[in-house]
Amino acid sequence: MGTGCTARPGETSERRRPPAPTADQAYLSIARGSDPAAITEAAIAALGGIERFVRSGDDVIVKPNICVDYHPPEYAATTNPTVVASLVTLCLEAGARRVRVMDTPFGGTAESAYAVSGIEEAVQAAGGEMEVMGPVKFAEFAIPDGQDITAWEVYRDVVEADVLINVPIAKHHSLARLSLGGKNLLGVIARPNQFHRNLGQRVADLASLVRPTLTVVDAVRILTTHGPTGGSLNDVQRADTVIASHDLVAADAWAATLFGKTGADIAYVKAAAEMELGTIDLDSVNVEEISV
Amino acid sequence: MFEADKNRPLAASLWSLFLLLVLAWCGRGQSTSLAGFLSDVASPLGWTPSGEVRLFNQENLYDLVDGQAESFFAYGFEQVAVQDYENEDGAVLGVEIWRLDTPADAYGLFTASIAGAPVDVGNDGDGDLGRRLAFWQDRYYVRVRARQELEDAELRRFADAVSGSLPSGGERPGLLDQLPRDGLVERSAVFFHEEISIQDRLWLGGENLLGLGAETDGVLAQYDVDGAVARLLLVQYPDAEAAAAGHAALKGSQVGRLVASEVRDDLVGAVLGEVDRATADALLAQALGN
Repeated sequence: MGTGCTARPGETSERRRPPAPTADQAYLSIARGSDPAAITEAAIAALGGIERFVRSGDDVIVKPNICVDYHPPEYAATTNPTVVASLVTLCLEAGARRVRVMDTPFGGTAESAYAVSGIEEAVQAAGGEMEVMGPVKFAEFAIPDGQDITAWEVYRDVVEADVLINVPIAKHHSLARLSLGGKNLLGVIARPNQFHRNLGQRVADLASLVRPTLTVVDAVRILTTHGPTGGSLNDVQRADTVIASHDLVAADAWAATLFGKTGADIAYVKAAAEMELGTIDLDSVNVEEISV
Repeated sequence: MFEADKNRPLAASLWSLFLLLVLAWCGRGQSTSLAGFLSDVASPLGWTPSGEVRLFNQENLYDLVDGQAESFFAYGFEQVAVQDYENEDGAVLGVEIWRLDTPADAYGLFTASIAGAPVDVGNDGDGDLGRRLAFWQDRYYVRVRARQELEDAELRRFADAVSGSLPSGGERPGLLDQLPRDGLVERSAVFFHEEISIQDRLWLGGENLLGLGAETDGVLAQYDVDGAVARLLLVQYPDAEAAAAGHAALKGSQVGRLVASEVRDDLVGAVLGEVDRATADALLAQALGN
């Protein structure tokens, strides 16, 4: 693991921040419908289109949740493959130089998890690349705004890519209560289990370093209990919803409502809002809801 | 000297017997390794192991269920064996045998994990047709999961074979006897030690308001009282002082929908939900008076 010295995030995280939404662009979009591809496209369109986030020639990383290799997508432990593939397609159509999709599963190997999740097949069909996150590319980064952690080993390309699209699945999590966009970022660091102490603040600290350009929460199916891995289809509900925003915190706060909770109920969402990484005050932003 | 030589075989035998007794004591309940429980179950059923048995302990459980390991630690987790199998049709089936500290822990983990319909396997079973079976037996909790939908009988045969390889027995925790029977929603009772095991059903703030831990036993059960939903929480503390502290913390808290609570000796009871005070008091009186 490349931990010889502590790198600084440099200007990347600033550079890849998208422009603020204009008056006719939603701050947060919620698209509902039975076709995962259509609602993904609609949610992005409401934000002003993928071109607001991806420029020609960009190196794009898409980070879904592919946590285990023992459940196919209908168990709602991993992100919906169609949602991921739709984003890959949009990015390539916007002129992205390449689009890589990656995660670090804890249950099984990356190769088997990529296959069982259905994401590998869908991404490759869309023209994207699956990348196995090998240990050599992890490097220690300073987290200047961190309140509990001030440095951690993070997958270098995730910090340095032109665009990072965070694509969690909305699901129950026994420790964090819900696994959403903030929690999904644990897939890009080394030793994620060491985040469990003071998890809420640590996730927020990490989010201050790994600023996703765009967060797209997959709530096509949601895992309502026994998460994050689940294992029973009785715990899965069809919500047929995709939530998107440049604001990770706002996207998570809205997604929490699908479980009868608010952003303030989830420690890492609340901590991220307190660090001013985004807002949980959904009444203060332009929310566009679309049915497809 | 002659006498000593004559007694040497007897001394050696006694020494060997002592060693055997020591080994038997140390290995009680563990005479078969977790992997050993899986060694003979599959082939008579037409399944072939895929790869080696993987074993996870407290140090590396995160490699199997990161983010969920604490849910198993809360039930005295010791070790889990994981093995995948394939059949000639290419179907894949995964088996996990979890060894917990006590049968009560295995029972508790089972109750916290119920997601499907009752199945008659082990001491109590739970499953989704053709997809998943889980059961507890002795101090073991077992999950059998099919990656593709299988014939339910196929899954059932596999679970029965694993059950047959495990030690039998295992008592349910005595605290369950405190639950009034009238109105108790079937299979709703969750036995627990720590807050994490029930926080899905009852949010207590996530900061161990009640002072729960390995030394406390608790049960949370749902009641249907003339169509209204009530939850009865019982916590047995190591002593009356701890119970009084737990009760005081609960009474001074903002826990939602708390209707009534009471402490009696080492036992704290609380009723939460949609019922009125009189109904809650009656439920508590039965539970604490039983």
